[in-house]
Amino acid sequence: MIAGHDPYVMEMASLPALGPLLGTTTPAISATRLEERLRNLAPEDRADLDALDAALSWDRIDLGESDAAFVAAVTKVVARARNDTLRAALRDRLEIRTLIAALRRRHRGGEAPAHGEAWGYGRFTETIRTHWAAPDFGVGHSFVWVNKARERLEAGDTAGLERVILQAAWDAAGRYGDGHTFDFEAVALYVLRWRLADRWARYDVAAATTRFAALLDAARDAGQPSGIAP
Amino acid sequence: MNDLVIALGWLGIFAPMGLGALGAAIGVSIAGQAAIGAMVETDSGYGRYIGISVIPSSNVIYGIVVMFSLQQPVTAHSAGALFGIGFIAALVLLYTAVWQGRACASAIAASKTKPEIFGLALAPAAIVEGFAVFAFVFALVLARTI
Repeated sequence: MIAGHDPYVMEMASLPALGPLLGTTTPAISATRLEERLRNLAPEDRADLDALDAALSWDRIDLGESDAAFVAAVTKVVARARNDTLRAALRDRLEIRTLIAALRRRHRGGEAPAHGEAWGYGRFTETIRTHWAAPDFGVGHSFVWVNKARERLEAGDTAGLERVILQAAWDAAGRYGDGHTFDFEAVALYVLRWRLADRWARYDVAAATTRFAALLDAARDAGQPSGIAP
Repeated sequence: MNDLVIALGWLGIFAPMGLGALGAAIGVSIAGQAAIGAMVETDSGYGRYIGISVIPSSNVIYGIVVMFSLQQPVTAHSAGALFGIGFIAALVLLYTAVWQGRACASAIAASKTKPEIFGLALAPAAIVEGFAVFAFVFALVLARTI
């Protein structure tokens, strides 16, 4: 085709650059404004984006659901995705979650999943299962951050672990951006990254609030003025 | 056969203008949509965005000039040359206008976030324009030899 396929030139041009993930203190665009900008998505693209969101957003995942049911549900979502880029991006994200789930399970002293158990999603479940004792589950070449994540987990550095996970998800989403500037894939990858930036920004606010409260408590306990007018 | 050759000759004369206009319309529309999107996001620089978005329209002007330079009685002797020069020039004008539109759209999207790269962001679009100018100039040169 002469013009390529650029159905969302206006939408993409109206979205601000997200910048680096870890430098984000507030998302580049609010959820309300993002929703407004995405109002003109074609209904089928909107449905794809919602399906992607439903599979990845913790708010929309039923945490009481069994692993097998979740794996079956996301397998359906991945299979229904209409284009290869989104399918690959979704698969990568779920594989990151699978690897983190394995790290946490092993850290809690859990045994390797049984053969045939639907415990995770993706191409590496069997490799992870058979290399359960290996520090990087034998997938360190594909997930270069896995040792860093393991170290953070073992050190009890939950904030550091979250940073590693979000950065890995951010990088994975960016991997498919080449060649997609103004199409639906570009929109979907932007939304995926925006959700990560939003999550990171929320963590930051939560951490700051907790730290502030702890400092206030410490100041009160020490009987020293907190510096804040009553 | 002779009629077909004559028809191709006429196609060669009008194609630079027709396909140049088609490419310009697509290119300007792509860049224009990006300009509208950028204006939603920013509070200034509107004129600049609109200015960039019309850059691909230069191709239709090149097409008109090539069309007039090829305009002459179409005979079995001249039709082949008219078709060859006109049609290839038209294809170049069509494609460069469309892709220049995309380059302009990217420049608009990038410079709204980082206004300081405005000039550099336009370089790809300017280089694409250069290729259109090559086709235009050498079509004029060859048209004189028919």
